[in-house]
Amino acid sequence: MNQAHPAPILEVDDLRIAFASPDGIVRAVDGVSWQLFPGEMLGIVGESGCGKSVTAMSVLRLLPGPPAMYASGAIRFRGENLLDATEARMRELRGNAISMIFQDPMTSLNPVLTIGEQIAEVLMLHQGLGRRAAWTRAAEMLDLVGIPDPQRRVCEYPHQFSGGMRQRAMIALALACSPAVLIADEPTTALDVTIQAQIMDLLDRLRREMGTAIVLITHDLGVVAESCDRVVVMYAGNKVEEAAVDELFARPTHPYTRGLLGAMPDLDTPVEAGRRRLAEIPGMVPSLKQAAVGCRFAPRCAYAEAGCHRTVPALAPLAVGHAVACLRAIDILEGAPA
Amino acid sequence: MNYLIKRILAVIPVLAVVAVIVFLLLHLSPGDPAVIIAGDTASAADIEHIRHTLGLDRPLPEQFAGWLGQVLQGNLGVSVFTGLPVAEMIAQRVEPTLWVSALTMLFAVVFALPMGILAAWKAGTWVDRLISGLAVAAFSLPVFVIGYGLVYGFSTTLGWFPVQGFKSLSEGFVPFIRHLALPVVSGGLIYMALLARMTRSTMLEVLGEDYIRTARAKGLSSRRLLLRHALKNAAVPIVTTIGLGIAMLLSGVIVTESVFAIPGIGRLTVDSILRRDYPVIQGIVLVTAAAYVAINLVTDLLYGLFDPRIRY
Repeated sequence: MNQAHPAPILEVDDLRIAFASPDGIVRAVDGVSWQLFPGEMLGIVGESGCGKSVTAMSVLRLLPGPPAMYASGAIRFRGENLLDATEARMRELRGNAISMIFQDPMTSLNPVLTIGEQIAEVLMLHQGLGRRAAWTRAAEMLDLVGIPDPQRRVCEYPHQFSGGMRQRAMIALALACSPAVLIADEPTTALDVTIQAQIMDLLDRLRREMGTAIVLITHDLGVVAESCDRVVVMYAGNKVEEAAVDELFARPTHPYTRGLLGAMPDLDTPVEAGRRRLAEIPGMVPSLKQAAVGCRFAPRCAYAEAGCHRTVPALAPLAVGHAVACLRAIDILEGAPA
Repeated sequence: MNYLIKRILAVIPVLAVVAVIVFLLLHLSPGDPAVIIAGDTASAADIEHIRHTLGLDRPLPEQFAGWLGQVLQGNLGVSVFTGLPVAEMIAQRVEPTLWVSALTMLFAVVFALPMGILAAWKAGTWVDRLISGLAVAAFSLPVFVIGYGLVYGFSTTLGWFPVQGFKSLSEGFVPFIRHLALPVVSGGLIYMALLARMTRSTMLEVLGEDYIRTARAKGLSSRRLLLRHALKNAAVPIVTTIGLGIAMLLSGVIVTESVFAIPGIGRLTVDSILRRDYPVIQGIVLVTAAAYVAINLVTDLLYGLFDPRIRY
């Protein structure tokens, strides 16, 4: 947060989500907080199983009922705690004020309904449009997301669309009601690299045109660097670092963030100059069945000291808008060796 | 359109094979057909007469050509027992069978679909276990056990329904439906159970799909989610099961008609087999097979209606 912001539109406050599994409770999200401000794009980054998708799904309360438990915390949309909202209230918000796009466009659209029906449906439901008006608007939305010949395409079925086109159609569907918040859960992961860039450009353009704030969930720091304003890095159900994008890439502090950056290919160095081998983070994501006794990352961390295994690090501010949960943050910034 | 023509054309070879098999039915049975038809007490002259009237003394291909020519004109031959045209005998018996079959399937579908959808939606709860338990029970009981049980309870003891028989719709709706109620329920329970379980498992699979999550993220109500987004995707296996059910019903109705003494095709089949009335048996098999093919065709065409990916 480099400039003064108005009130956050979406606020996740000390969210804890635990799932009951046959061999114990899994703490998928273990006390995570972040804020989303109007019109910005917030990246949530982490590897598989870090709790980023669970956080996203819980905002719309799309997690299954009995096995998912909201142990504590709050998700506030314009000040209203969604964890306390009734199912009817959630239905009003879903697809209208808050909408979502998913990872796999090949399976996320209903194969037996036309694209037009699927888009018109939300417009009729939330905006009270008549059938004809909703279809006209559906075609306009397809045009907006860059699908050629929208009048004809609106009557087609998902199987007649390519993967990239389907993700565009998903975006058209999600943005049809001009939501205040869009949650994009790995929207480009299942797509070709060239298509990925097009989809990210589209999301970036639409958020500027429509003023929709976007939560971008991804494991791809490259995508984050291109489009996000701020980043939250998650590891094993915890937020380990948060910063503005430029700050994070200039001064990555948490060893896990540094590890993620080290695992990114560096395309600027010419091959002749001897490109380095991609770094990897050793070890595996820990089991989330036990409560944390020390830093969750300590077993994989090159900087870990004895204290790291005993004390759970609290999130501490490092600079304006830059916070890190690491006992050795200052040492690392001062250039301590790994 | 292309799909429609393709499916209809595909029916022709199937019907041709059916015709050959039905024709050979008489010749595949052991012994001389004329002797079998004539029975134990017939004289040599009688047998010779039967052989000649049935054309059995002519070469097989010639017999087949002649028979097929007659069949295509709607002439299924003459019963050796009653001397009446087979087509006429079948036509007289068709009404009760059609009603029993249609109402049995209607009963099964009307109850099974909501049960299956509800069980899938409430999967793992007591509602699901109750419905699944009832389905297993209904599936395990043979038609004649359920039939006689219902007759004992509702006819003999309570006197709400007649014990057996059939009344045509032209004799009034109330007597018509009172005579059909018990046969339809006892015959339909097994299909209801089959279809309910099929609907449950198919719906359960569909409800786990990504596009259902998308539909929920759109803010749709559970009703719209189930009936519009899930059911249409589950339709193909469900329609297949209904089609198979109707096909199975063609033989199942024989038992129902016997238990409730309904003068339909099923009874005619049993009687004709006992009388070794080959022309009638041939006629029934042919008509049944044609009905079976027609049901399959309709099922195939319905696939295209429910799933756009099938309209190639």
